[in-house]
Amino acid sequence: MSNFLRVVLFGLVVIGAYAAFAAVFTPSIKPEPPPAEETVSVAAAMTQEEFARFGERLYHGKGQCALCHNAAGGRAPSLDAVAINAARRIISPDYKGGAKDAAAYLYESMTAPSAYVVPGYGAAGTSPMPGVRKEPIGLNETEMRGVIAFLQSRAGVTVTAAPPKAGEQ
Amino acid sequence: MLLLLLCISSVPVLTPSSAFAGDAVSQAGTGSAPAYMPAPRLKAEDYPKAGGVNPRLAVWFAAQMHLWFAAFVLAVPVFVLIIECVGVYTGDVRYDGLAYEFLRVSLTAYSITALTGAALLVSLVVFYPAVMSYLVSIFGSTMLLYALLFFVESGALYVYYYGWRAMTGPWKKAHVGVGLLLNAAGTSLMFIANAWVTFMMTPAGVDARGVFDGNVWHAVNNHLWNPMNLHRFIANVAYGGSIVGAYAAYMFLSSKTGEERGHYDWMGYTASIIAICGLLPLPFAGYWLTAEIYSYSQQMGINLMGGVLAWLFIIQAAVIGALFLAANYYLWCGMQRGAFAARYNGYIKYIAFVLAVSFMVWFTPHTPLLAPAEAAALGGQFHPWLAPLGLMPAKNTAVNVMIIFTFLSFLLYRRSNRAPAVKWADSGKAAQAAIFCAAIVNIVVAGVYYGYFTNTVYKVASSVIQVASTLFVIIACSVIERLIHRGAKEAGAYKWGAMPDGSQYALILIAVSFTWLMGLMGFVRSAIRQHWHVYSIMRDNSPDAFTPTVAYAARVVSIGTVVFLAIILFIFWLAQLGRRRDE
Repeated sequence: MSNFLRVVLFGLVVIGAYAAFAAVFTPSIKPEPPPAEETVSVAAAMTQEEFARFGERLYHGKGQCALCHNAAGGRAPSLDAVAINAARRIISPDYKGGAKDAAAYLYESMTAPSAYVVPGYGAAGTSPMPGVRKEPIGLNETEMRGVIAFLQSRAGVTVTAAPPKAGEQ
Repeated sequence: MLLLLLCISSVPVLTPSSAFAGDAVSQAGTGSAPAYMPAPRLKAEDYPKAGGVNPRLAVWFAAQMHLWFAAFVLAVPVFVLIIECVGVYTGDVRYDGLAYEFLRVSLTAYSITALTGAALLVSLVVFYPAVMSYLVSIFGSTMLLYALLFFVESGALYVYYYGWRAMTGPWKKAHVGVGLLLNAAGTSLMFIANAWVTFMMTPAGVDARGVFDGNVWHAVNNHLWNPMNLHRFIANVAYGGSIVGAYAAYMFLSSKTGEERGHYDWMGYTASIIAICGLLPLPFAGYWLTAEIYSYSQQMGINLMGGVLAWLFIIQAAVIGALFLAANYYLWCGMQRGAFAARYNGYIKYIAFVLAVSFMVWFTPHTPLLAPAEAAALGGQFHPWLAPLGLMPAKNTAVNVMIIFTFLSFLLYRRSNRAPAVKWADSGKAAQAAIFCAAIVNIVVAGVYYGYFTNTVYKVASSVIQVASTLFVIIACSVIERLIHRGAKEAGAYKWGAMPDGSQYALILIAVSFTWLMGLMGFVRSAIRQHWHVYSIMRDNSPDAFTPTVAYAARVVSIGTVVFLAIILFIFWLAQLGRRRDE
């Protein structure tokens, strides 16, 4: 076999080995399709329970909250009991934000995350979390209330976030 | 370039009457200032249809081919200028001949780079006119500068190449100056193109709706521009060295005489040293780029390293592991050229062991592939002992250790043919050993402590200590090595041409792996924008906005690599014809 053919064959084997490795040894996960662009429209009035489920869908979907707030990654604090912790935080001397109750604290955490940074998850005053109003998340007011309802429901406290009226966006 | 100008002028610039745009926004306080439009909000039907052609695939392929050729024609002049300067400094005419030989090889590649660039531009204008229109409305002036610099680069290239034989003696410095101009123009071209692609990832100079503030510098100097500039520049140096090394390896294998083998062995060695010098700092530049991605957007960073795309980095680890092992193998083979190689052969197995262990750590995925029954048997998705190795602190530790031991291979290679002449040589070697040991302990302790025993905030901090330790080893030990061997006598000439054929395949593997890896990393850089043309500003609503699977991306990259390397082989063949004619 000529050197030319040997070199060509060697190159093809190397490229083929990498392609085969990618095909065989990495999981064949099909990435999720892009999220729908439209804001989630609330066609009819919701019960408090439906509103919390609506917030849960946003939490795992459009809101991208679970991307960081999950037990496996440890990148952001767990939100399992945040609605309970919020009531304690706003009366803590370390708290410098403007919220007067737990729901307002949750709202503030989404729109101005640097107002209070949980110790260990960023320097005080500079949270790595993005504001959820802005793209690429882009939650509207109703959607943010839905996420608050979900967090309150998950923590087992009274859900105070008001469900939307029919037709509200 | 005429095509570039024509295309730029033919792209519909966004004006207040644009079909896509909303309200025009004028700059506050400047009544006569130009109005800039928000980024277009496109629908699926706004994307032109092209019967039978997949627009994304067409643009992807054209962009990838252009990037490979552009990297090649930017890398070769860097390589050539370095070699020419070494020739001027040492007075060794072989370097001058080597530099000229390779500049000739790359000439054809310039034409092909222009052709692939034209293909990319046409495909973008045809398939994504609104995206191009938006980008031209912001970067139009830089595109004209790009065209101007292309003419400067072409002129400098012609003078540099055709003036090589004429500009000698007192004119040699002027010739080096032309080489500098050529490289400055080429590197500036790359920086300008980098501004466009990094703007699409981390837009700056625009508001939340994409309305441009009118200051081009704001858009150019976006968050990722400088990290990308550094990363691509260093990668180009390494890539240029690897391609020249592969050319030398092929010529070595095809040589008929000992003299030819000696020449191409030397050429391969020179090229591989430049490639390795680029390869060593490349992970640091990549780390900076990634850190800046996280700094700009945690979501983008997590999509890059923590989601589906994270598996690309396991593939990357495999390819870079192969690169490091091949580079070390080549150095170990190269040691046999020297008279004192036997002194150091015993160390090779230990270096190989450390490299293999480090490679396996780097290669360990955080989430293993487990069937439900396997996961149940394991007691969870993560292995209790191996899971920590899947995290970045472990991988950072591994890659720094690999770099340090590759540098050790290089030191041993340098010592394989010369013995130190200074009296304090033993003390110097002891100091080097102490620096190596202290740095390795520092790297491992920093990785373990900051990575696993402090909170998240300090994880990134450990990498700074590790990088500083590695750089200190390289710089301090190089200085000591230089001082130890001042006035050292070489034990005869290096036995150029005495390398085994297998070592040449290591050089070819480096070039092929580098090319494939560039393609894969190019994909992931683009893929982290997800369904955005311009991240968070201009959404991609085309039917191709989804992220493909890793295997699909690897197939596209593999086909591209085969096509690219086939053309490179054709270029080498053309260069050989020219060489025979000259001879």
